[in-house]
Amino acid sequence: MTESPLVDEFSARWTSLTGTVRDGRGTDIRTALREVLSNLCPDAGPVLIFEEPGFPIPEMPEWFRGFGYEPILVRAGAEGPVDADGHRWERTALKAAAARAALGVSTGAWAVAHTGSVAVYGDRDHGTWPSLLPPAHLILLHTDDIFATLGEGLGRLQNEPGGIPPEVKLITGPSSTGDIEGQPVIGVHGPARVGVLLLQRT
Amino acid sequence: MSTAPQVSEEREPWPTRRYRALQDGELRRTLERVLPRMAEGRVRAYEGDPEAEVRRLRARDRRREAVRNPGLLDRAMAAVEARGGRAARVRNGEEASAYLLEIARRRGATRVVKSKSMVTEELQLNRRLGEAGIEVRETDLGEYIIQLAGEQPSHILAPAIHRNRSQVKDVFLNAAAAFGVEAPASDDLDVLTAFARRELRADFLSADIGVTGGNFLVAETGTLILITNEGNADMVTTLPDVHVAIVGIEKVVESFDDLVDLLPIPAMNGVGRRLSSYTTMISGPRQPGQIEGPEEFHVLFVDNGRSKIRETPFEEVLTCIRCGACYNVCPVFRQVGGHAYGSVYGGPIGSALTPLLSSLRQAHDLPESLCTLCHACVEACPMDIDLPHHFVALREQAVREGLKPTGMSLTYRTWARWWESPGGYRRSIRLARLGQRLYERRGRLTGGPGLLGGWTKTRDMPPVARETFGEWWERREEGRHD
Repeated sequence: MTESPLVDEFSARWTSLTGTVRDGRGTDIRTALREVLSNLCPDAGPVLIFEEPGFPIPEMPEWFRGFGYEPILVRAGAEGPVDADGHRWERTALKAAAARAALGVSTGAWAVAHTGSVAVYGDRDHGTWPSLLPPAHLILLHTDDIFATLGEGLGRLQNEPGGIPPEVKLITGPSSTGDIEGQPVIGVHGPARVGVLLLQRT
Repeated sequence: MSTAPQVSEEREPWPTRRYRALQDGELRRTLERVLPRMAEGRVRAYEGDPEAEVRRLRARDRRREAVRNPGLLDRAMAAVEARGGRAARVRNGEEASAYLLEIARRRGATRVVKSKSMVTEELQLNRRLGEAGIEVRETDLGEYIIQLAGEQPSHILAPAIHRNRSQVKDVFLNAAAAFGVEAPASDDLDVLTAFARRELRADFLSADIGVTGGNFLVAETGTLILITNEGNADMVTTLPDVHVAIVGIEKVVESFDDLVDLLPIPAMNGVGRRLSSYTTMISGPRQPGQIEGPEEFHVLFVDNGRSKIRETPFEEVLTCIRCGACYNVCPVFRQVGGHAYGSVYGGPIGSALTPLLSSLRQAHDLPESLCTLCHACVEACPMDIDLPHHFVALREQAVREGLKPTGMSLTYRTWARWWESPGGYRRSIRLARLGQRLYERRGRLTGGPGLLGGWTKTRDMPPVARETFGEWWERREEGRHD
């Protein structure tokens, strides 16, 4: 429990959808990351990280390397995303990298407590492939981006300074299906495991 | 204007379809297990969310206003184009496939991946593209199963609901042999799903064109809404270089603000969740510098019989958002499943949509024979579509258009005339008391003349009493006054 009912409501909803939540506020974030990893993606492997401008944890690729994972960096650049060496990503190469990643990391644009949803954007500076192709997805979320209702979230979206991005995806739980005998199965096409690391805005 | 057939010309008669469905024990067991659970999910979701009903009513009103506003389509098309997409209107399946084939020709594309879309079933898009040498892969798990099995969807949300896991495994074994890939090791649900994940992943990564339907399209911003749980639509819309969305003209809603109330409606009412796993909003192709997303984004607005429903008493049928709530509660659907409808759209809404989109001549059996007028569908419908009312209207229309056998119309007309007056009613009772002697077996009527003969084939009924209540009352009253 925290001091904030919104954060609590969001966390309860997200958890009820089989998602993981770890509060990284007021604690060592590296340790919090380590803990959330043990749940989301315990075996070291390639990690696709999309760093939008102002990415909250610039040290993250180094930390992943320290844990034995292989960070694949997609960093927003003036002309489009670049890799760790500053080279522009080609579409085919990024597709292949995303497809072999064991974990995707991206920052949530905003979240809705009532539904337990997180919005991710797809535009020049943001990518949705980390939330789609790997079997696990870690979302970094600033707690002041959590709204009570869907209406407030959509209001934020309409007021984005750059306009509505070409793709906006509202994620509410893992990829799931009930198509065989109506029995729930997770991880059909997208991630089976979804985790949120809550952050304090600095 | 020609429209794609909602029902095939060689459709079997209802008794044959009904008999086959009722003989399918596996189908009925699955329906019995799954449908009530989805229906209860809806009820619980509303109970747990006091604001939901208010949102639903607002959503319904916005949908009603939208389908009555033909000007929205032009605004939607302009908005799609303003954001770098291309918008076109197509009248039917022929035009839709011609549009797609032109893109395929221009780009040298041969492989299409598709997320679930009822309108493309309606347009028979896969068959048309297949005949032109384009390989279309369905990627929703249920659609994938039935595509491999060569079947039709049996439920709007769960198209393969008629198959159990061992039958799905058989389909995948055949597919694995045909593809030359490793077969699923068991009929465990995770194993079967993993097989589909692996096979379809390869298709997503290599496809040239992605085709989707659309849950809504916002006229104000040109934003396409896709709602899924599996995430296949997000693959289809971001991995291939071309995305073509095929959207019924009735799916257009006016403003972005409308989404607040509309987005939760499909999941709340279909399966009882506040939102589906993925609610994706697409407003144009990829930006300069952006890597993900398509280079070309097209929206095809499909009429295929929809505009002729506008400004008729059936107009509200167009507000349907395809949530499946009416399927889940319908006592007829719960027994026979989707294939027994013999049409693209099954379930209660299909019994109205099918004859309205095609012709009453082809499909008048649906509103007549597959509805008991119990009203469960209208109670479950988030758009408050009064389906039973429309079924009665369609039945009347079928009689007026002479679609019923003469003997049947004559019988009902005669019956109605006799029972119009108390005298006629009493005469009919006296006549029946005389006639029923021929058909009485052990105190029950087991046969009858004309239509009654058919009716009593599978049921019997009590005979007319030797003295009816009315006659007894009359005799008693007379005795008093003496």
